[in-house]
Amino acid sequence: MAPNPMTKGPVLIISVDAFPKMGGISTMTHHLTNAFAALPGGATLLSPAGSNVPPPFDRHYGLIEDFESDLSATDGGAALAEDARIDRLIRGTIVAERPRRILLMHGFHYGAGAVSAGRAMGVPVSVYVHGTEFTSQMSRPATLSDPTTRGALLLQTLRAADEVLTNSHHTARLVSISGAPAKATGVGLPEQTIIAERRNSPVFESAQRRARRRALGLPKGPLLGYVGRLAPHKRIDRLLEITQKMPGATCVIGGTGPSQGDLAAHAQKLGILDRVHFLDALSEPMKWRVLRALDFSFLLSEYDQKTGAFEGFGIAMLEATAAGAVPVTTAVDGMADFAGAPWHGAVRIAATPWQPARHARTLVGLLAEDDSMDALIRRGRHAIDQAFTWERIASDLDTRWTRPMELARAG
Amino acid sequence: MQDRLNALLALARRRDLLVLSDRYPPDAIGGAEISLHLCLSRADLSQRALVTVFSNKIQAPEIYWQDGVPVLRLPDADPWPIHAGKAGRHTKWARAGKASQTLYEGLAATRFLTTGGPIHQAADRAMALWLEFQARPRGGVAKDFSLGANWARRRAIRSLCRAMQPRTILLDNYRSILLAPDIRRTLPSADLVGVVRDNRFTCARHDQAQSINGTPCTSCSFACAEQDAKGWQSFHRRHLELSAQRRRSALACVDRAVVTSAFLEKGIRDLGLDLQIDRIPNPGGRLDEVADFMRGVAEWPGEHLLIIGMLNENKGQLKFLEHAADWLKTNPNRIIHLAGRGDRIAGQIRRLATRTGLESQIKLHGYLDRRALFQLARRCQIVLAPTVWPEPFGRVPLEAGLARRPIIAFARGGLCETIRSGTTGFLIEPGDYPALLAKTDDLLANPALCRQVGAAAHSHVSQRYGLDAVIEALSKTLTSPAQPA
Repeated sequence: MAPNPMTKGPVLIISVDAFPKMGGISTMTHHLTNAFAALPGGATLLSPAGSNVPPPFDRHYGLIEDFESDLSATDGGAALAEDARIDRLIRGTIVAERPRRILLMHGFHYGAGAVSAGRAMGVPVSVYVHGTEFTSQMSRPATLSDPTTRGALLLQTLRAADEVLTNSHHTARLVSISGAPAKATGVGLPEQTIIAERRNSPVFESAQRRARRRALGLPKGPLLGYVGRLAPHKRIDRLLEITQKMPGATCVIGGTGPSQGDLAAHAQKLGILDRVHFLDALSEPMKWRVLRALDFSFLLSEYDQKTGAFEGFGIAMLEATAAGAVPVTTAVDGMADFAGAPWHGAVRIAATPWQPARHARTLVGLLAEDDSMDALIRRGRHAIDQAFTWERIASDLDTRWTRPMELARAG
Repeated sequence: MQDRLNALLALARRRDLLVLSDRYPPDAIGGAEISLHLCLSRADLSQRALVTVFSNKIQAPEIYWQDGVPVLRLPDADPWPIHAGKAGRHTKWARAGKASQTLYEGLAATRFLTTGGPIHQAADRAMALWLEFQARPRGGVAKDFSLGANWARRRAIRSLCRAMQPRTILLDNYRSILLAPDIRRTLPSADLVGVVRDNRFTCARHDQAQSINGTPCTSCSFACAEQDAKGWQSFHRRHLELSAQRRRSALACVDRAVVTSAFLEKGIRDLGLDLQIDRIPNPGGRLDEVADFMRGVAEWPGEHLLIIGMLNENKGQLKFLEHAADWLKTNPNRIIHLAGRGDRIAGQIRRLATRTGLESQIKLHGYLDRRALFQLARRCQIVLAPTVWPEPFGRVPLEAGLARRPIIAFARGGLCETIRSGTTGFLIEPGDYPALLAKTDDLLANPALCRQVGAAAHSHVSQRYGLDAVIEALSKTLTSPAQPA
C-alpha cells in the first residue's frame, strides 16, 4: 500500500553509520534527524543492530533498530540477499511509518534496498553523498566491470534515486560527472551548539583563551590545532611546519588515525616535538574545551591520489568558528563552500607554492589584534547562521520536497 | 445433545489426545492459553489433539479450528450455586416470571444442599449459601468443595470422555484439573496429565497471592480468612480448608503433573502427593512471527516504560504508580505505558493520574493482541514488572526478551527463573520501590547497556524457551508412560 503523498508523515532517514559508532557521518545523521524531528511530521532514523544514542546527545526522533542487519554482506551474492531483506524491511517500514520522504545518509548497505522499496511504494528517495566514499569506489577498475561490487551498487543506487544530495558543490560536481545529477546541500551544526558557543565566547578575546589554555595545562602562547581524523589527505604535516615557523606557538592534535606515527616523526624532524601535543581521541565535551582554547584551527586538506580521499566539506571549520577559533584552510575542494565566496568564513592560505614562514607571519599579524580575529569569527558565525545549521538545511530540504506536493494540491 | 456431540467428534476423528482448557484462542487473553496453543498448533500435536473449552454463550456443542487445531466448545454451567443447570437456564426461568424464578431457585438450592456433595458437608454448603447472599467475603465464597457431581461441567465431561475414549487427557490449569476425579472414574485406564500453571493448589485464597497485606505466607493456616471475611472468618476458613482439600484430591487423580517453573514444582512437591512431576517452561513464542511484528517499528524518543499484564493487585501496577508519582513528575518526557485489561484497577489508575496531574504520563492501552504488544514493547526502552505476588511462571520477561528489551522486576516467584539478573534484566528486592526506580534511571541513562541486556535477553529466551524444545518435552510427556514419583 503506497502512502498518500499529501500526508505529512515523517522523513525516514536511513544510515548504516549511526551512533554509538562515533564519526562524522553518524554525528551528522543524528543532528540532521533531530532537525527534521522538529518539523511537522517529524523524523525517524533506521540504522543497524545495536544502534543507540549515548549521552550527552539528546534524541528527539524515532529510532528503528534494524536488529537483523548483516553488515558483513558488502558485495557479491551476500550483498544481493541483504538488499532483498532491506527491501522487505523498508516496504514494511513505509506501511508502518508512512514517511513523506526517504533520505539515505549513505549509499552503501541500505542504498539499493531502500531505493527499490521507495520506488515500489511511491516514496521519493534522496541519497546523500559525502565525497570520499564515492571517489574511493569509483577509482577501482572492478567497479565498471562487475555489477555486484560495492562501487557498482553505489552507482546504481545514485542513478536510481529521485535525488542526490551532497555536502558541497565540489562533491556535487564529481557525482554529476558519473551520470547522477547532484545538488549541494551543505553541512551544518545544531543551532543549540551555536547558541551555547556564542554564550561561551561572545567575542574573540586572547586573554580569555590564554586562561582556557592554562586550565588545560597548555602553555599560554599562541595555540594552533587540528581536531579530527589523522589521515594523509588532511595534510596535518603542514600545520606542524607553520608551528615551527611561529616561535612560542604550541600545536595540539586531537584524534587518531593512520598518520599518527608519521606526524610524530615529522614533528621530531622539525625539532618541535616539545611544542606538539598529541591528544588522541577526544570525547565530545573535551573536543569543545580544546576548540575554545585554540587561536587557529587548521584544515589544509588536499586530494590524495592514492586513496581518492579529499575534503568533502570540512565541518571542522564550522566547529572552530562556533567555538571562537579562527579556521585556517586552503579553501580547495569542499572547503571552498564555507571559506570562499560569498562567506569568506576562514583565513585562506595557498598550498602552492608552500610557504610556511609567510603563512606563519600572516597568522602572527592577525593574532596581534583581537579585533581582526573577532571580525573573522563574526563573519564565519554569520555564515553558519545563514547557511550552515542542520535546522536551516532540514527546513530548506523540506520546503523543496513539499513544494511540488503543495502545487499539486493547488491544482 | 449426545448426537450432536458424536457428530462433532466425527469431524475431529482419530484423535487420542483430549485437551481440556479454561479458555483457548482466539477468546483467550492470558499467557497460559497462548503457551498451550503455541504447543498444540505444531503439526505433530495438532493431528492428535482435540481441545475442549466451556462457553456460557452457547446452548449446544460447537466446533471451530484454530491454526489447524480443532476446538470443541461445550455449553458451560450456570454460575455457582445454580451450577447444576446449563448456562442460560436460570435466565430462561427468570424471564417466565417471578414465580417461576423463585421456584427454579428454590429447587436449585434444595438440590445444592441435599445432593450437591457429601451429606456430612451439608452444613458447610448451607453456610456457603449464607455467606454468598449475606456476608460476601472479599473475592467471593471459597466454593470448590461444593461443586458436586451434579455440576453441569462434570456431567458434560463424563459424556465427552465416554464418547471420545481418549488415551491421554491433558488438563490444562486448575479448573480443568478439578474435573480429574470424574475423568478417572469414567476412563480408569486413561493417562491423565495435569498442567499446573498457577498458585491455586498451594494457595486457596481468591487471588492466590500467598501473602497477607503484602507479607508472604511461610505456611498456610488460612489466616487470610480474617482479612477477607471479618466476623465470619471461621466459616470462611472452613470453606478455604475444604476447597484446598478438594483441589489437592483432584490433583492427586492425575498420573503426572506438568509445572512451568521450579517455583511451582517446589510448591506441588510440598503437597506430598504421589505423582510424577515434569517441569516444562512456557515457550517464548515463534521467533520469526515476533520478528515480523517488530520489523520497522521505531523506538519513541523520551523515556517510555512498559508494564505488561492484567491490571490487578497481584501485578502491582497501581502500587507502583503510587510510589513512582513524584519520580514521574521530575521528567515530563517519562511515560508509563500499561498494557492489560482490568477495569477496576484502570479506574483507580485514572483517578491517581488525575489527582497527581500525571494524565499525560500514564497511558492505559487496555488489552493488546500480540502484534500490538510487541510493537509497543519495541517503542519503549524498558519493561517493568513491579509484581506484588509470587508469579507462578513469569511470562513477561520472555516477551521483553523477544522484543529485545531489558526488564526490571521485583524478585518474586518464577520471575527469578525467567530473568538472569544482571544479564537479561535486573531483579530488585521485592517492595523496594526506590531501588526499582534507581535502577530504571541507571538503565535509561545508559542506552548501550539497554541494547546489550536486551540482546542477551533475546538470546536467552531463544535458547532456553524455544518452542521446539518445549513441544518436544510436552510431546514426550504425552507419549511416555508415567514413572512412579
